[in-house]
Amino acid sequence: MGKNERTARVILEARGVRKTFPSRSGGEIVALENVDLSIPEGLTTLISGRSGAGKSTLLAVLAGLDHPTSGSITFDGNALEKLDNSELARLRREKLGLVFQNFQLLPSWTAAENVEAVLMHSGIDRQARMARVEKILAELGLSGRFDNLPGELSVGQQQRVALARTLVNDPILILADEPTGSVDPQTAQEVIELLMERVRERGTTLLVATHGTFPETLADRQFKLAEGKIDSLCKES
Amino acid sequence: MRELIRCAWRELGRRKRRAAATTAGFALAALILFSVGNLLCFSRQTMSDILYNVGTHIIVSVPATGSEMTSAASGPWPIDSLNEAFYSEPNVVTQLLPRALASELAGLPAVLGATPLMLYRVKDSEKGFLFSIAGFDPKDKIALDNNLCSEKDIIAGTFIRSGDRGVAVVTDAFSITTGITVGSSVKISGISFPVIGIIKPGINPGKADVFLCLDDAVSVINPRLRQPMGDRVNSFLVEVKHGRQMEEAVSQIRGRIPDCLVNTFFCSVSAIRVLGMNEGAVWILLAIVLVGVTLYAMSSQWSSIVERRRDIGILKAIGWSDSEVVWQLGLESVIQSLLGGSIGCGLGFFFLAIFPVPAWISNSFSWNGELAGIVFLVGIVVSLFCGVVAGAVPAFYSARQTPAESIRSN
Repeated sequence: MGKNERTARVILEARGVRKTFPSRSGGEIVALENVDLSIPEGLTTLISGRSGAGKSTLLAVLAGLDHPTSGSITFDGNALEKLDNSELARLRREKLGLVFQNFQLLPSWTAAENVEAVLMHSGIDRQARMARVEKILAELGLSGRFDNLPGELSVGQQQRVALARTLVNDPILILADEPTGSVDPQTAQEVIELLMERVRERGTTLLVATHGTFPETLADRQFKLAEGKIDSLCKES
Repeated sequence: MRELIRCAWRELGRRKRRAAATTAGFALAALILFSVGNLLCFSRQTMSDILYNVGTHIIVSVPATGSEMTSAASGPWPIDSLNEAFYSEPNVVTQLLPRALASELAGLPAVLGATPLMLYRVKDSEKGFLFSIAGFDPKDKIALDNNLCSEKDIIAGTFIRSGDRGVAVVTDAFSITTGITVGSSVKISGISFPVIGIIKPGINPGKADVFLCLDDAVSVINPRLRQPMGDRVNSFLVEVKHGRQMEEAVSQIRGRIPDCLVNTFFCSVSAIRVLGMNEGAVWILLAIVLVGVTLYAMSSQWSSIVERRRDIGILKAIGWSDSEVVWQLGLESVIQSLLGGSIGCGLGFFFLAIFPVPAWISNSFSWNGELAGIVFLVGIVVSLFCGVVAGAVPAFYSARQTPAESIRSN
């Protein structure tokens, strides 16, 4: 399947999204303002911007982790504002992969348990689940680390566990918030390769928020976010 | 569910200190609950003993007025009305009432049983002394026991059994004053009744010197009356269902026989109130302990959830639903409460077996395994309930937050 064919379907779309937070003074802080965004299926999209530009908030809203103050988001044909919390949870569990800025591993859970957590309520029996968990951890070079707690792993290994967790449910969309922001250059390179490999092999859609650590050359499209607004479309292949 | 239980168990294992502290709180509460529960059961057992001995026995009669006795020249009144009389208390002369009233009284809601009783004061025709006879139906054991006399009062010989006729039982006092013993006879209205037993009845509402079957009593009393009494008696023995229902029973009896005289041991009323107050104080103490433990467990669970707020946010971000999070957190609390409840009640059993304090305090206490088992189960169930309450509130609070809020909070 060619790239142009794959771009035919918009997998994620935001329309007029606004997100505010209450400020201590009683007013409001505008994190996102009138964001319109379309993410085509199978492409890698980069959202770049400085720290505080609203990238993490945008990804949280797009993933249904937070509710927009106004506007609408559609993911894989589902209007998120019409879904209740359990439907949103199922959508995330079945179709979405999240890469967090600081890995966000559960510190008291082992590497295998962190990855298994995604599948725990998916109806897959434990034996099959563990087989999948062990396979993906092995693919990411963590064969001997199943029973290690995150604190017992190096930063690079932690990031790979986080990636294993993202990929284990075979998501159709990966939202990655600064996936290379907290790791050394070598680990960053490994992470990028792993993500891009998944995009190439399975046609997974990838949306990356970055302040410059992710290579722009790998992206099919690139938006710039400034002060909560989509400032410009910098690149479209 | 199995996955959630496994997960909850694992989480508790990884927070050993907090889990142990919370479980110990539940264990302490269950131990207190078990101890207080057994104390209450002991208290109730003791109270029942007291009430059984003083608080459930009644004798009912209707006093006769002077005009009735003098004007009813042809009625069923004693020929020797100066010496002889139907009585309930030594100085209270009574009217006659239909025997059938006994079954009506027995049917009252607060009444356990009722039986007709004949009490008649007689003048001995040979020696001229006065004594009293009681005619009763030996088969009505419920109303007789502790109300008039029973087999347990026998100190010599045997007691009158249902179906016995023509025999008598006398009190020890009557036996001493008259010299009548087991094997000799007592003669009333020319009929001799062999004495088959001597009793020491203690303090009962119904009092007499000689005890006969009701029909025998009627047959010896009728010749002493101006007219036969027919199918009537002068009093009824009533057994109330429970000491607490004494006043209710008296009220119901008075509703059926408006002018009646009800004699009982009314000191039981104040005894019941005092015992009730003690029991009330124990219940209040118990409620305070349970509320305290629930708040303690809730606080502990709350702290645990605050510590794990980010973890909960992550779980929700990767696809756990609110209900799965609530179940997970709730199960942790339930496991701790079940474990704590079992340990506490187990310790209670252990201590009670080694230090049977109630048995030291009262000879009447008897170990009731079934009752202790019920208290054990109640202890665990109450502990579980507290655990559910303590776990549910923080869990629902946690579930209300969006994953982003929870993750941001760290």
